[in-house]
Amino acid sequence: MTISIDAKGLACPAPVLRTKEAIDTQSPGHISVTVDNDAAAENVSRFLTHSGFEVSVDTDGKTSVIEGNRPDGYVPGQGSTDPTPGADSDMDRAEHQKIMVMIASQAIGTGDDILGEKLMLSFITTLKEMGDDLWQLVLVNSGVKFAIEGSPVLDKIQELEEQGVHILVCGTCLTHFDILDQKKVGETTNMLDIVTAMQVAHKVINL
Amino acid sequence: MSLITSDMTVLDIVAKWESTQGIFQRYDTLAGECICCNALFDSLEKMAEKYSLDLDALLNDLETATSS
Repeated sequence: MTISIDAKGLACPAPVLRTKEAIDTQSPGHISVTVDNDAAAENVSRFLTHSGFEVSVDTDGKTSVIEGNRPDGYVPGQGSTDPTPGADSDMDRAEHQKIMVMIASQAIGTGDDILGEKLMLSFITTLKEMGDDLWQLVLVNSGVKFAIEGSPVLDKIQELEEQGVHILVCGTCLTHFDILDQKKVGETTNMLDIVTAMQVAHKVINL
Repeated sequence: MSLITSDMTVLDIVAKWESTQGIFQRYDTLAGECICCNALFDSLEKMAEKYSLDLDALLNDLETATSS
């Protein structure tokens, strides 16, 4: 079933509430929500993502169309309304720290770029040693290139994801580098998700 | 017995009790921005801390809104 919602002219929380009501009552496999303000676009995207939809946003600067596709077999009602990435697994990690690692470049430090790149690859490879304390790996700016096809540490990041680490990849950054379609690991995310996750994390490590 | 607790998200509350939207809009002035735009997925506790709001007063106002 496909549902289209025109939420133009509506202020928050109305666009999210309309989307929620449609999902709760009709359980669609595809949903399209049109909004005309940034806050509504962000919130509807987050809500759909947390509700199990794969989300894409098409915007012309004034109007945004948020498209959500939910795979067959999704069981509704298993999540809370807290869409902080990783919130559902918080209980599992209650006895551990929640460390967020943010990587915003291709190299560690300055002075010698080649050395810096080697150090960064070694760092990502060694991240698994944090064990269950490693909660989220956030890739922004040129750090998003570690999540695409051909990345020398793609398999390492995929292993982390398989072990339950949440990999967040900046969507604005992927679009900026024109590599959105090359992403092979992680969840495409936005600044609101990143900031929210930073608030929840016990420790944030920036590189 | 309180229906609204501090661990509920703003979305949990406005979705269940439409009348609470007006309360959050009243608190927008104190928060300095639209709470339902920028903290919709935060728990009340987290949101109150973020905006330095009086959590007890907010809970009381929300409770009143749900019973009116």
